[in-house]
Amino acid sequence: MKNFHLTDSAYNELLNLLNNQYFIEKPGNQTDMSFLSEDWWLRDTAVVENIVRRKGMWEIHLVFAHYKEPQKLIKRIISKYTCKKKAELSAWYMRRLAAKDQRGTLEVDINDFKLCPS
Amino acid sequence: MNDLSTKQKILNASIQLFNEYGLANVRLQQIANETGISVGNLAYHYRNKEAILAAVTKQLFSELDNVLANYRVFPNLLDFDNQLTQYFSFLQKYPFLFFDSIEIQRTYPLLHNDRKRCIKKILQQIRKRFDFNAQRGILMAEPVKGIYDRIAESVWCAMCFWLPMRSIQEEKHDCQSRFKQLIWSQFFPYLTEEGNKEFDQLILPMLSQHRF
Repeated sequence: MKNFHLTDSAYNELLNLLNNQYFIEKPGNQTDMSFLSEDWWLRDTAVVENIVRRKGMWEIHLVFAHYKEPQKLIKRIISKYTCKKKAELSAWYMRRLAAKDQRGTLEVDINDFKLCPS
Repeated sequence: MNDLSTKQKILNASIQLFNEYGLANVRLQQIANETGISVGNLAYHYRNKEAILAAVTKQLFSELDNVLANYRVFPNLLDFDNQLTQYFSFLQKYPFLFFDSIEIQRTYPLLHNDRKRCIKKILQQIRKRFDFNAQRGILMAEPVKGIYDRIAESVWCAMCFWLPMRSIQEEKHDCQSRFKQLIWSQFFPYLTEEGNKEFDQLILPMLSQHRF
């Protein structure tokens, strides 16, 4: 097979692009990565799945609660299903994926948090 | 696997002999002796000297392509210095290519085409380095139209004919700092104040490191 070669003009253009990269692309700011440190506490959270019926659909809510400070928590709506069983199954898998403690040895009861449904 | 290693052994022996005696003075018998095989066995792997040279040039141009791939790794003068270091190693590994360049062009014109392709790339890269550093404010804007094209050519000349030049002068040609000084001296008159600072900070310590 014949080797592939760039033409002179294409190679020239490639070098121009590499040169321009220096002037166009700017390094990010330190603050751009601050979300990482803000979310650091999520490493030590228990994940609890919650199924909520709303507008004829079963929504999967995952609650991330810090295992030492249960009041420090966030709730995220992950997805929704028409079938409750399917929603429960997906929620179980999603919790397994998201939780640091995948085998569930850290026990957190969702009812302890008294969350409002909205 | 054994077949491959024999082919590589032949190529290594050929490169060593080409470097030592020059391309025109090496016979197949010598290559076979150096490899430790018979001429018949050698002919089984490579039918003639041109076939050996084709394989050697394929290997060396692939290595040269790797050197050329290191363009704009660093956003400063160190980038070219780094490439010069690699290019110098290449010169030391394949000196026959530079001593016998006219011989290759005359006798093996097809192989010379690959070389022309690499030469064009090297010239384009050097020229673009001028553009890049002028845009960065390290080199002055082109004082006379086309002068950076000519300097790019003279830089290439210095790189390409470094070995024959040192050999004619009967000087040793393994002084990397001397080689780099020769190349950087082409850039030096066109450095701006900012360029001089960067040169003193990044390049000068490297050049004085290998003082001889």
